[in-house]
Amino acid sequence: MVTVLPRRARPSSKAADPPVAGGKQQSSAQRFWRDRFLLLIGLPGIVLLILFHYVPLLGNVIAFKDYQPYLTIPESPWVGLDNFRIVIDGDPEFVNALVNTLVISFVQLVLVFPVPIGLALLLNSLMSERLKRIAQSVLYLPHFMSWVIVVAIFQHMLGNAGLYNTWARVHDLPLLSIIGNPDLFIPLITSQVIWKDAGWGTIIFLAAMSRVDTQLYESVAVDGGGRMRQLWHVTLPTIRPVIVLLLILRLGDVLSVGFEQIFLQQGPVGLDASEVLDTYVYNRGIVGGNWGAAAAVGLMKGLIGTVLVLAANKVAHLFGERGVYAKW
Amino acid sequence: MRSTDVSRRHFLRMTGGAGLLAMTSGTVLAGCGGSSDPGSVKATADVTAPDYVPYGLVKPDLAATADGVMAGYFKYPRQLIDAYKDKPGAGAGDVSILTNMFNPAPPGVGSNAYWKALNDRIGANLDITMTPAADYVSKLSTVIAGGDLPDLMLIAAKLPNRAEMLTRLCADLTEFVSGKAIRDYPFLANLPTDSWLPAMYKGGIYALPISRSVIGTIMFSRQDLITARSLNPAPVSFAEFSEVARGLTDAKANKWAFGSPKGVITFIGNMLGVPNVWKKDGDSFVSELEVPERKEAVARTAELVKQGVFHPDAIGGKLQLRDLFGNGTIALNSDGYAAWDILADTYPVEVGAMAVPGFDGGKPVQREGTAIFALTAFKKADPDRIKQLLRICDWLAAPLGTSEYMFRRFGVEGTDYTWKGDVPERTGVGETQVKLPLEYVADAPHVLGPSTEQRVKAQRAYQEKIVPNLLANPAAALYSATSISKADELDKLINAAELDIVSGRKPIDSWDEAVANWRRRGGDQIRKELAG
Repeated sequence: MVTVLPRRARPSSKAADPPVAGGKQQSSAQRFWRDRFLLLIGLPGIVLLILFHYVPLLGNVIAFKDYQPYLTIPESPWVGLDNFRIVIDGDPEFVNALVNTLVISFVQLVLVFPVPIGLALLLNSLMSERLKRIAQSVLYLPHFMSWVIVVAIFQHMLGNAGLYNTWARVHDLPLLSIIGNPDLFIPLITSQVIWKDAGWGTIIFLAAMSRVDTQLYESVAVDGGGRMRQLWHVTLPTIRPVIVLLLILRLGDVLSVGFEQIFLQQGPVGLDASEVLDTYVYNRGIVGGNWGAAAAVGLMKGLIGTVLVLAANKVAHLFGERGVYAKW
Repeated sequence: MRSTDVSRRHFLRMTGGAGLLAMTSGTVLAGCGGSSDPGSVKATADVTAPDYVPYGLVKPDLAATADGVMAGYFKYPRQLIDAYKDKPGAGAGDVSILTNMFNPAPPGVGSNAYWKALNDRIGANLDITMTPAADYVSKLSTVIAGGDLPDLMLIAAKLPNRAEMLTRLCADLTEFVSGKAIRDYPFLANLPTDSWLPAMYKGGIYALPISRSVIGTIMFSRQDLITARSLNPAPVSFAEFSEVARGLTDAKANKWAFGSPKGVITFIGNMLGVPNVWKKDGDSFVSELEVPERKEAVARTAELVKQGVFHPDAIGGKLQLRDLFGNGTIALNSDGYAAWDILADTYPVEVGAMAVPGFDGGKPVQREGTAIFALTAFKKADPDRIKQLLRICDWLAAPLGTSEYMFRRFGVEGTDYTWKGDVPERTGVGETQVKLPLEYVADAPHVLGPSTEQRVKAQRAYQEKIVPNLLANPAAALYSATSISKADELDKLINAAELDIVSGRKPIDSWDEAVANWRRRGGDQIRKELAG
């Protein structure tokens, strides 16, 4: 998102600033001088980005070292690719975590990603502004709850000692085994994600839909098209770039499936069903003290995410979409 | 099953320890043992342990015994001694402390008059970072990796690579505490020798112990609920024990016997005589995990889970067990011996303790508790700074009978507590403010009470009953680097296997696979290192 904006802004700013010296291209120094105030405003953000995102990247060097906290990073011995052995040799626990991650990620991509789009379409079709606002507020609210609260709510509603099961026990009704049931773990966390974030996810689609030229709807109506036609020929094509953009960004996160949410619920279902790469890195690294190996897995994860984003972007270009950034 | 080896505690008893103990009443011989206790004879042969100078200020109503029964006090002494005439930390400025806690955090120093009073009495600004105990190892690891150490930090018993962390990152306290030097700090000299051993590595002493008694873990029971249902409070076999558990369970009323399988596995293991972590077999060691009785304990626990006597969220759930025990949702809960007073003081219920019976009525074992809860290490600093910090810790470790002890436990008389007869009673202010986890920075050795005569006598009776069954860990005095660095990883592996079985997700035979995995991942290496 961030990278898209300046590129789109540039042509208009050029138009606003009549070319100096009779249409000749400005030198970079001139452009720098012209944009000095904008750059100044951006400076704190850039500094923060470098300080808290790029400098820490250097820490990834421990993936190639036998790092121990009682040694400093420079003092820790180099071990080459030893830490990557768990990845290369396919350590069973690592493979289990990887498989779980991919399965959960795939399920969430298929089930979670389209929900906000559908929800946004529904909201967009509401005629009453008042009703729309109320519906939106209700849908946004869960987003502001932390995972601890969300997990606790689910536990108290559906847990083995939760609201329903306690009531069912008193009335001799069948019990629901949802929390703590490894077979239902993925459906459970997926529905939690939908419950918590689907409403929030609609914002960006609603914004995109608000840009639709209402004359287009009129044209469809004049041509005899109904609601479905309007949706198919006007609304969806308008928000398609946004959908593609978010899909690509989502692919970059394909190996991250909600550390907090899963970590909080690992106990009752056991690691076989619930260990994902993020929790594996935490359990191995910070808890287990294998910092190097954990960093290696984390680094692999980051690399795969980057490759996926770049590849998906390429594919988007092939289909004539703008993608996350324009072609270089 | 009782080990015939000379444990450290026995050793202490045979040598100076018992003599010293006889000299002074009111002191406790601390226990030893425990899976993650790296106290090392080999690694510490060339350093002199701090002298043990028991500080017997108040004569106990029930004296300690040589085999580990703690001294008991029926009331708080009213004639208090000021152990420190000056401010122990004068000139120390800001002292940052990282430690863990088990209760909700008290108000910060800005809105906590007790904390301010504490700083004033110590003469320094204690900047205490309090982390919930369950997350402490992660927090500490992160702080250490970040490289910005606090002045005083609690080193959790399960911290990976504990020895290296202490020897490389923390101050060497040897010259300040070894041998006679400790006498400068009379209340630290009051800590039993056993508890110092885990702080000694590679010819140095690198931390202060938070010492614990040999009594270890207790299966606490809701005596009132047991009586109300006319059940047997002291079962003498596994059959009777499970009968009590079934009797305490009433699913429709949301009443259960247990809230967590781990303690039950250990309890049943004790009935079956499972070794305390390791068993000596000739020159070699056998892990408790490898004996068939341990597997049976897991199987029996799985049976109990199947019978429905566990809280429905007991499997891997993060239940507030003490609260559930206090409000009667669960009736049996295994917890450290020190929880007795906490439970009885926090909840208006009758707390009892169930001594472990023999499985078929025979003789059971009772695991000796570890000698320490954790260690307090110091950031490297110049000798004057270290001495200041040691004096602060010494002040914090002042025992019963000193004004420092009363202040540390109850705060300021009149504001935080008032005397009701001979019992100090917390005020509302004291209830919220006097909750700093100072006992996890430095503490005097534990005693029973002071509390009501009835409670202290019940505690004594329990201890006298189980002390003859105490089983030491024969490897407690041996050093294994792997057992320390892999402690958490291996524990997790076994805990996960236990949960899989007791929850019914996997058959009991998966236990063998888990143990094989444990051997491969470090178990065999530990055995090799122990056999040396």
